[in-house]
Amino acid sequence: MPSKELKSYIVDNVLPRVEKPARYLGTEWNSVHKDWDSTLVRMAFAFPDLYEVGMSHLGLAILYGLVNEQDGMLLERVFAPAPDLEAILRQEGLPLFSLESYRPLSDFDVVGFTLQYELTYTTVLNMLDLAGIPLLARERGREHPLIIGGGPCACNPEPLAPFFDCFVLGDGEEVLLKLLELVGELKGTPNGRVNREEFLRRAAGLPGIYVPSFYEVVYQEDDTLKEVRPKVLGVPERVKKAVVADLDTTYFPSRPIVPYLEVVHDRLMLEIMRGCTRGCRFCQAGAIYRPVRERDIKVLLRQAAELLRTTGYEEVSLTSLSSADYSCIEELALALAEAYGNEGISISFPSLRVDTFSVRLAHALQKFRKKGTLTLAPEAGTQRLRDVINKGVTAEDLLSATGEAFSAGWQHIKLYFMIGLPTETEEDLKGIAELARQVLEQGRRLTKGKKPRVTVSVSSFVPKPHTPFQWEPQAPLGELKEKQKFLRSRLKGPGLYFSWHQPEMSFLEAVLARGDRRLGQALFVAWREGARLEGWSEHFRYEAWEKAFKACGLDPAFYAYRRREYQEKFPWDHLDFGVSKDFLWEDYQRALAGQVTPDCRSGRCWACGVCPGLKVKMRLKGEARNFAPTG
Amino acid sequence: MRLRVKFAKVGIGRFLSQLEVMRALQRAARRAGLPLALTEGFNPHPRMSFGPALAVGVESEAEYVDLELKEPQAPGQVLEALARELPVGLKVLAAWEIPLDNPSITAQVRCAAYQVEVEGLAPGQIKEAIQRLLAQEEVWVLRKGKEGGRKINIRPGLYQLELKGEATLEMLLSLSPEGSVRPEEVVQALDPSLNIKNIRRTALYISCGPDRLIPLEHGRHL
Repeated sequence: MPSKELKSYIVDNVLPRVEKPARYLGTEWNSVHKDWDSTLVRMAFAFPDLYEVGMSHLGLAILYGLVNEQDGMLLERVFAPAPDLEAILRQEGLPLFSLESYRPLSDFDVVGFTLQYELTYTTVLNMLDLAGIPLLARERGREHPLIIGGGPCACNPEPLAPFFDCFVLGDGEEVLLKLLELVGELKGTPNGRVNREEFLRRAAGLPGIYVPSFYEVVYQEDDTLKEVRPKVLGVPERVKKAVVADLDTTYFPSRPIVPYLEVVHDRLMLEIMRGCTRGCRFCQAGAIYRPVRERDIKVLLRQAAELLRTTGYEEVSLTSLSSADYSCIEELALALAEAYGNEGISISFPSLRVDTFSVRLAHALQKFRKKGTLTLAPEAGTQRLRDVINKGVTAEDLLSATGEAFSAGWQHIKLYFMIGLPTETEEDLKGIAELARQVLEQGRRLTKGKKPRVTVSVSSFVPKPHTPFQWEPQAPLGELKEKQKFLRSRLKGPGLYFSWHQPEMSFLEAVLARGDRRLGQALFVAWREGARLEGWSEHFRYEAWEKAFKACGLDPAFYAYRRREYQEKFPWDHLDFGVSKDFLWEDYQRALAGQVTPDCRSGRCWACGVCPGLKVKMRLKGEARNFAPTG
Repeated sequence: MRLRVKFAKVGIGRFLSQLEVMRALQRAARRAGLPLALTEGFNPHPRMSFGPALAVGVESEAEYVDLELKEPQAPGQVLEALARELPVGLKVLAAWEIPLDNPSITAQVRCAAYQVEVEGLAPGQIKEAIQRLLAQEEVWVLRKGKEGGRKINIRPGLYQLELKGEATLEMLLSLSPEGSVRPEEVVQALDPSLNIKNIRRTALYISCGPDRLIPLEHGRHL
């Protein structure tokens, strides 16, 4: 069916039957519709989750603007269809289509999936299948699009290796255009086709590009890895991530799409810095997005003015991994509040650091606004365990932050903790309940006559690649459930609330996060058993995976529950994100000894390897300050 | 100053919910740089008030929004500025100043006109069904609600109903705080074998007597 007919059929006959049709219109403000026939290189950006999640993703906004501003290139969007639309597409034999031109995905030269979360992997397969594209890379030919992946999970993409042609490691805006230029060169004309072998051979020479089929994985008898070695001449033994050296000169979109629909992060996103060197030992983002690169306050003020004009948003979010750490945060936030406050535009942070500085700043920005919920993440219940995970926060920090919050008018505090952390004991769990009670009592003292509330939200620790805890086992399911029960019983009473995540989801996340290529088969079977949209607890069905592991003869415990030896080779060791394995091991040993590793912005370099290895430097725009105490 | 803006929600605009339309208009007004007056209180937001909500899937060529500006602006200029900033699916049609104490749109509206394209019956059969329906003194339908639903009599609020062409029903229905009739309820009462292909609201009126049909935009001083 030609694209015009497909569009009118879907608009007239399909959209009236689905929930939230505004997800699929593709004509949002600032969406870009380029001429298909005359554009040489055509890429679809595929987000393996629903529109509301995908449209909240800054990476999509950056790459969408970047590619569409080039002559001869276009980038269109596609999201996972909700189950109601999927049912209609399958029933009527309609292909998954891009939102801008309503083209089947199979018409594109490149389909790029962003891999934000392990539990979206089955949705990736489902989207390929809905597009009629063969799932396995080796079964695709010249007539099929190149399937590429990027985003944080590309730091160990091995379970997905059989399905992808290549992965982009690191900052995508640094290398995507080079990749698409190569596609253009090999196509020659808009109707040309790409020679896949030649594309992959040359792509493997670009910075940050990993072509899994060029590497052979050899296992030992005990099922651990023997080695991953290049099987093609001229490809690097280790692939180094691509990295943006300077945030001030790199591309940032000036006309991001404004959705019709209310999406998860429904606001203007200003990226104030990239990277975080606090060094929380459970945090993968803190490891793989190093070094810290701040954006200049003048650049940010200019971007805010321009973006507000082009989007009309009523809220600006100052985003980064740890926004209160941005060295000019106060100047920036107050300057924005001053400039736009009387237009009813509010300024916000995605997360707050556990200290009074952050709470005061949040209060200054919301002075006249109704205070909702204030969320803080102490992560662990005792000082001992917080030192183990290098959280660098004390009970006094927390109580002075929450005290500030109650005095400023907040009545609901949400505290994030993790359970199943390495070395955790019952004392640490009791500590969680105790901290929550202390905060609640403090709230009662400070908000006389009001009814303060404290919610404890608990997630299960998942050991991740490229972190000091990559050698650690995950706590078994039964134990996690016991711990949840223990906490639930201790967090009863007026004013206390408890919320938790499904531990089965964290278990699967742990299996896939440190998985190897053999898991690709299980992924395929789980998808065939109906697994998709698994990040949503209402769609998550662990039974599909039980069947899959059984059918493939794979033991998920091998991946999730095994304590690794010092010398074990990991499936991601050949992917170089800058942080050296030696540093991670040393940091792991410090963790087990209860020693902290202070933030390198305080002046002391801990030789994590990033700056010399990636030939980049930390870029601060002001004096580094407001560190949490160093333990 | 206060302005009343008439706009259309047609084509793919029919897929937008009332909330989505409100957000699109507010953001368009901000992009257009209109000096929006803000509400007082904890969460200042633009003083904009909309008329009666339209269901997702229904088109309209007669929607209205009142907006308040801090500084006077020529209505024509506001209209042009908004027209440049609206996403596909929404179109501004007219704008005029109204007194600050003008009643709200919802308070003024009494009835609405709709065009409903149907299929499933021949024109003759539809005409007969219309005659039968209009001859009745009471017409009870089930209105779905949060708790199962309730029976309501739509006949008093059904002011006009006729067939135009082969399969387009034109109807004038009550739309007021005292009770409203929905176009799909009229079709349901006409004949269960009729299917709705499209619904379009074509006008809002502030008076619905047989000889006093006054469109909302002409009722600015009433």
